[in-house]
Amino acid sequence: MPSDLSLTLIVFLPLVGAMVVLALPVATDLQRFRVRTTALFATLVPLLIAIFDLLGAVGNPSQGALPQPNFDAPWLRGFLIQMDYHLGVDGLSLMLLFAITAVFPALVLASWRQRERYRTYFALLLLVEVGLTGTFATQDLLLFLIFFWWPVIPLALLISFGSGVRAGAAARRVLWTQSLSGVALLAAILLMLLRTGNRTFDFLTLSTVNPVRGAPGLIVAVLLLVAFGSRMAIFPLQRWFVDGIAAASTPVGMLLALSALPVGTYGFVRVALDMDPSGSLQLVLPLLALALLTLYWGALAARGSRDLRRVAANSLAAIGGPVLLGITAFSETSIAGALGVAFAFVFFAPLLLMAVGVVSDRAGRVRLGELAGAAAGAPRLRLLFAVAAAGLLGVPLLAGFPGLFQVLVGGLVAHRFVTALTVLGLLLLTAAVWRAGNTVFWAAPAPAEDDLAVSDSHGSEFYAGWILAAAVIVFGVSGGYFVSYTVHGTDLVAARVSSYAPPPPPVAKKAHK
Amino acid sequence: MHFFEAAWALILLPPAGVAFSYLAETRRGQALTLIGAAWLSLLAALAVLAATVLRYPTIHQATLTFWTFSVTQSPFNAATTTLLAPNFQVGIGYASTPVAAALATTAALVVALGQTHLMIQLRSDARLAALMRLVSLLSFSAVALIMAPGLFQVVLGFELCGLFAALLIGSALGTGAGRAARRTYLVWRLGGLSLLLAAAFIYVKFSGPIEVAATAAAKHGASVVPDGLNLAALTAIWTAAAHGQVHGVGGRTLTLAAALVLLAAITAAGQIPWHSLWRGLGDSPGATAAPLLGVLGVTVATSLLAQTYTLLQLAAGVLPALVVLAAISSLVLAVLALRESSLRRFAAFAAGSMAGAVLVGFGLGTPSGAVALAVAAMLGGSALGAVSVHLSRDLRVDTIHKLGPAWRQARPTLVVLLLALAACGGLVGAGTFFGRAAVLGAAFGGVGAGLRGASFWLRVIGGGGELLASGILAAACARVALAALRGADPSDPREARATRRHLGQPRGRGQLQVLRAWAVLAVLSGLLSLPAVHFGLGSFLASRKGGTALPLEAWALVLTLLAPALGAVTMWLVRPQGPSAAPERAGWDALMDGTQLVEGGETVVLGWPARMVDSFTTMIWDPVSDAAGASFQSLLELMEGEPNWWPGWSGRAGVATLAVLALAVAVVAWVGAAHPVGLP
Repeated sequence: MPSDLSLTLIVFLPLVGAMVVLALPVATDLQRFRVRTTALFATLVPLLIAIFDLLGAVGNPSQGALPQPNFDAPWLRGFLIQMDYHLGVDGLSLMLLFAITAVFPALVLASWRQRERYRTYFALLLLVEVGLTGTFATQDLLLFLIFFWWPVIPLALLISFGSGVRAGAAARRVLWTQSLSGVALLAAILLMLLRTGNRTFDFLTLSTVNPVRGAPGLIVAVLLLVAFGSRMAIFPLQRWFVDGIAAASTPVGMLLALSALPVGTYGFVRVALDMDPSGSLQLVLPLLALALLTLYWGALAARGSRDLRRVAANSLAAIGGPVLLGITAFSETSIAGALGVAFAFVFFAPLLLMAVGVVSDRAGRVRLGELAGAAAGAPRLRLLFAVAAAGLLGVPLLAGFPGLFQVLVGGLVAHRFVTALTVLGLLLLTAAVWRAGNTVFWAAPAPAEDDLAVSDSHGSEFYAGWILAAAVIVFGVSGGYFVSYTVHGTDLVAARVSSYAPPPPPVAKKAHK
Repeated sequence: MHFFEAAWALILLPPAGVAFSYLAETRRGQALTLIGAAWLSLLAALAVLAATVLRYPTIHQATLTFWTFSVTQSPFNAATTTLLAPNFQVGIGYASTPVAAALATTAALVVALGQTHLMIQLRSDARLAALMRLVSLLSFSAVALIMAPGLFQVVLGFELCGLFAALLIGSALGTGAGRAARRTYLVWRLGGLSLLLAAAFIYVKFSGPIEVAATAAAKHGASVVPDGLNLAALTAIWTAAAHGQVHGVGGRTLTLAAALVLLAAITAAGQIPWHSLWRGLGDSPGATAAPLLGVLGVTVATSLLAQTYTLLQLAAGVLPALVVLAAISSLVLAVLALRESSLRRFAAFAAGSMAGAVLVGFGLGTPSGAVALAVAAMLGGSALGAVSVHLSRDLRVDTIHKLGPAWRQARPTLVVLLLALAACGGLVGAGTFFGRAAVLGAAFGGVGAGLRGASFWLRVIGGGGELLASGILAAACARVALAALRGADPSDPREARATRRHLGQPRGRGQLQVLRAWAVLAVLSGLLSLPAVHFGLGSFLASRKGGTALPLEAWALVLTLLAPALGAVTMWLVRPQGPSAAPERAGWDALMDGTQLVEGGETVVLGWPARMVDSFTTMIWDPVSDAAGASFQSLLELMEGEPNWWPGWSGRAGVATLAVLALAVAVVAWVGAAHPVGLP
């Protein structure tokens, strides 16, 4: 078994790192180097703990039930509520937690060339990691709310550091939109509390008691949809995400992507499905409509956009459509698929944003027409983009495929027509991504624009890219590693939703002549 | 350990070559690594083919599993719980069916020839290693698809084929390359997503009754891996479902699954309305066009249809739809080929038309004939593509009306072009002739025992369309051949001067040896074995052993592929023994170029591949081609009085071509009716 403190260390070591970073001087190059290495160290240690203490102790889940690391200590008792400091992981959260810890060292490497606001930048980056790991590590709903809200302010500040003219507006939009989603989550929690009469916020308890039913259940479901849908950047709540990525610096855009779909998907499954199954079942049709709208809107917006960063951001937002379909199919397979796509998103989204961000940063332009052929002479960047785009589009043997396939399998059982339309939407998304990739990374540059050619990926940025690309490939080839953990949580969620599903209509027997 | 294990080498050698090529420091070293892997892969393919035929009816399978998981699903809105397969396995493996082995051998052969051609043609191009790697990866994808034991690997191979093909096309230098790549990838991705949806649908609907599959597969000696998408298992389940033995699965489910597979197949074969795929394939850079035309357009669709043929047969209305669509596509692509003046696009459309004919064969109920035609079409289409690329890139003869000067100044290359045209056009006894004959035979009722014959009107549509398409394609090939043989200059004097100047400074002479071998193989693939075996030996052996005709016809395919190799070895053995003083120069040039040196007054060709082909050329082909050329010249002299020769020719020669084809059809119909062959 992992030690009791392992999860606490994973969550809060970056916070310690942030404090140390803020205390370090940055007058000389050597001192700035120390800041960077401190930040790197603060992200590497949680990763090592996650690998050796969590995954190592959990072992091979196919050989039996998944041991669940757990640390529960009473915190706020005696009020109207009982809030515990309860950290733990299960099948739903283990691999997402691991993925987040794995990707942060790459983010620090991608930020290696950060030149301004040195200490603040790395401290805020580490604070975001605290929020994200905390979201996946907590087993208490109020603690989950705190961690869910935690990264919003650091992210808004980091976006406002961007050099674009719209950075301030984008930061404000992120702040208000995500604060609103936090308020919606808080309102949903309070309504659940009032209707069920529970005083505990323990996940295990909330996923076993009778849920809120009828109209209140529907209201809770709508509030949760606003909260998590906004974080997933589904239609029509995706603008904060697209604007944020377009305005932020490249590493901050990568960070923003990490805090969007993975967190929203996990919240949807963990809170909306597991704790409000009755309300979620009432929202099937709106959820399906939103799934299609998210995919098609994202694909068409990516196709129509002339800004390279916006193409990438809209493409990433579009993948929320299949994820929502997986959630709405309410089956073990499809929910595992939705979480699988979210897991893959942790790797391919930052990689995609890094590839396009590096090109637009170096060229000093963002418009597709002006960037034609800019990266044609940069084979490493080209390869990184290709791996990321193929992962996003669900090409087999890359990380996006296992989850997408499971979504389709589950979706076909429950919503055949919507699944077919989703596949068609994926074709539109392919067209959009290929157009941008071909224009920037493959097309020969116009003769007059030869001076636009950007230099290839190198140094820390190269290592960051290769870490992410390797993860996309490794988790595509051995996707079952993720699936085998996830099914230990999705089976319970699917069973709970099924138990509150209305009985199917009787099938009329055909009269045999 | 037995020869079946060579399938691992067949599948994995090309990507291994890609990996090892990065270790080589020079462009030459990288190219040699990739070529070595391609030829070794071909050897492995031959071993697998031999093992498959010798050990039939045992279908050997093996899978290297990457990941697996259990799935049970209780959908919230379904009346009953859907039972999915206990294990869903994702990995890579092989199933050595005779059709798969034959198609894989042909694909490996085309890729090996293509890599060799590419290396010679683009030796000074900085993109050489990158392009060769992409071709190797394309080969891996195609062979993985062809040898797939399960539907998941088919999806994997299909998706990767499209991706690598699009990257190859996008590597061209022209301004339209990006657009062509995007168009190609989108067409392919449509098929890929359709196939992915089909796999998911089939997994949901058909993978449950695994005991049905295990029982049925045991009859064939196959060890069914219960991964839910195993093709041997699915074939048994589809048959059981058609007999109402699978709960909750009926005709509508079968039809929907088959329709999704069909959509993938017709996009892969570039059938209407996705025929622009062929233009993209033809426009890929340099010599990469040939493997693309040979391996991608024809092989992928053929393999996909062969692997899921039971499903397509059992589903109502799918094969008729395939026949109608493919017949129209074959016809339209043949017309496009007839109207096309660019040589490369002519080759692409001709290959597309042949792919349509292959699909018609499947639709009319002769999968064996369709596979035989596919083998010839792969070799013929790729040979035509290769020589067209050589003409347009190295000799600047990129349009048909520049062929006249080329006939005078670059006759050896033009002879190769004529050979490839003969193979593609289905000249009696050569190339695709007997494959086409098999398809037409099916239209006249010559389908195999146990196969459902197509309805009368369907046979009329399929057979008539295919007959018309064959005639038009033959006319298109004859048009190109006569444009060369006539020897006329382009009408624009400046263009004529430029063409003559380019032809006076030819580049890439070493390619000719490879192209000759390629074209000869394309011609012989039809000539040597198919008529005898497809309609004779196959049925004979089938009746003697009480077995099924299609696997025994693998002998035909073995002979098809081995006979040219035996011929080549014979030629090498009887090669002219030059003066012993002729130095055996080692290295790049000696191996690949076929550099000609004059030693002691005698021309000596260095390098064994070149020498092999050169021996054949000097001893057999040159006299034949000279005689043929002379007879054509005399024919043209007779027509010299006509200022506008084409309408006159089309009037007479067109009728003659159709008459020959009609005669062939009559023969085939008679033989086909007497000796029906096909899939049980």
